Amino acid sequence: MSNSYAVLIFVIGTLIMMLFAFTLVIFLIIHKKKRYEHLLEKQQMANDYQTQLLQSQLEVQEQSFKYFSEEIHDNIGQLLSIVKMQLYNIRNNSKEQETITKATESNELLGKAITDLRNISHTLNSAFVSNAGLADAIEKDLEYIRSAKDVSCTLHRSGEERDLGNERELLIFRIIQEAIGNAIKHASPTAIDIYLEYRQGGALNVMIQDNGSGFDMSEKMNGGIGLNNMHVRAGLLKGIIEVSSIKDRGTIIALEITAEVA
Amino acid sequence: MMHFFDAVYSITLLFCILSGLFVYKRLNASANVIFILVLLAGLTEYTGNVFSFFKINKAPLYHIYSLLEITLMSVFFLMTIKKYKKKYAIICFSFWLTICIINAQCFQPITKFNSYMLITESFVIIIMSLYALYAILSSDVVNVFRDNSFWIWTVVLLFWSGTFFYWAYIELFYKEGIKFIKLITYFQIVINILFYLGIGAVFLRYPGKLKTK
Repeated sequence: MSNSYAVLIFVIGTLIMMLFAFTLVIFLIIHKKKRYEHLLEKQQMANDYQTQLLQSQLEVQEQSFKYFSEEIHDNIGQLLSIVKMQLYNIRNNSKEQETITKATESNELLGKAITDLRNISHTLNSAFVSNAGLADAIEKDLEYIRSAKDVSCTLHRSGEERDLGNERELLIFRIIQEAIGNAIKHASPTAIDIYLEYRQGGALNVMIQDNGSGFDMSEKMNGGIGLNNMHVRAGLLKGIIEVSSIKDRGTIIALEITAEVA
Repeated sequence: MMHFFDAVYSITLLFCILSGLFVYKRLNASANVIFILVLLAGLTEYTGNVFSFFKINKAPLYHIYSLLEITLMSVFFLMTIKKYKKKYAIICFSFWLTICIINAQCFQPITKFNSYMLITESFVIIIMSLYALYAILSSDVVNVFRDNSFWIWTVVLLFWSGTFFYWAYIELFYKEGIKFIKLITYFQIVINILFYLGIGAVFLRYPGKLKTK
């Protein structure tokens, strides 16, 4: 073999080997990059679909709430008002003391029931939140809870309050309602504190704290529909929700909505 | 000129060792294997320089280093490739060891430069690297940029592809004293420099995902 022939084989061989290796690596990078982009696209589509689905579910839920609210206000409320008037007439027209006393007591109880029903009707109606504003709507809801459930409820407001938009305020309101509802239903608290903090720069922090029985985080974190609903709503707000609970000490639910979204 | 290339090569090797030392606590088991390999390479090269200075034959040093190098590379591939089975590594290693023994007995004794051993070593490592890349191509790993093992496989494949024909012809070139020998040697040193720069750069990327297991 002549020297120049050996050098030629060396040069061409080395070039081919390196070119082959280089091409292979570039091909692999491009292939994987395309797969990665495709996967990201698929994930994005799945997320969008999931969000739309959740939004539809919540819209259906809101419509149901509205329907119940109107039913309570227009039908049951009206019927109870008529019953109240009739009881009033019975009390006025009766001459028996026992009937008068019973009618008066029934009238008072009925009055309370009508007030509670009206409150429920209001808090179920999405227009109530947009009309009253987030903080006032929460106050009203707490008023009803205080009167109906014998739980001390306090709203702590801080920062400069501002309008977050009807849809977002309704979502936040529903999260708070869900948290309070869960606490009352499962933890039997004696006090619930809600902290609504409008932060500088546009962020919003909400914290719902109760002194109920709490729960074991490892057992219940994945299961509850209420918790899931809160997470879904927080997701739609593009916020972060954190739940921390200690058994027999209570639960804290913290919602953080960043400035950009808020 | 040769001194300049040698100096740059020594500095690069030192950079690679220091990079490994700098992130040593963050390296995982498979990266540690590569780090040990780099340490051994450094030790061999610097000892080789001392041997050259005292005019001692350094061929036995490279025989030992080659044996350790292929062993560590086999361990590295075994640790990082999901599909790679122990038996494949043992087959590759045994194949190479048999060739080495035959070579040491019949062609290049321990006192002679082990270029034939290095050809087979290149061949075995290229095959293992190609298998590693095939494994990652068919795996579920999608973001290869974050996978440090991918970059090590790439650097190893490019290095051994670039040196394969050098080991095949170096003895002939030196024997015949061809006029391009210096140029070819510079080219090989540059490839070595790029290899250790690459490995050093991958070390500095840690902590990252190395194992595909």
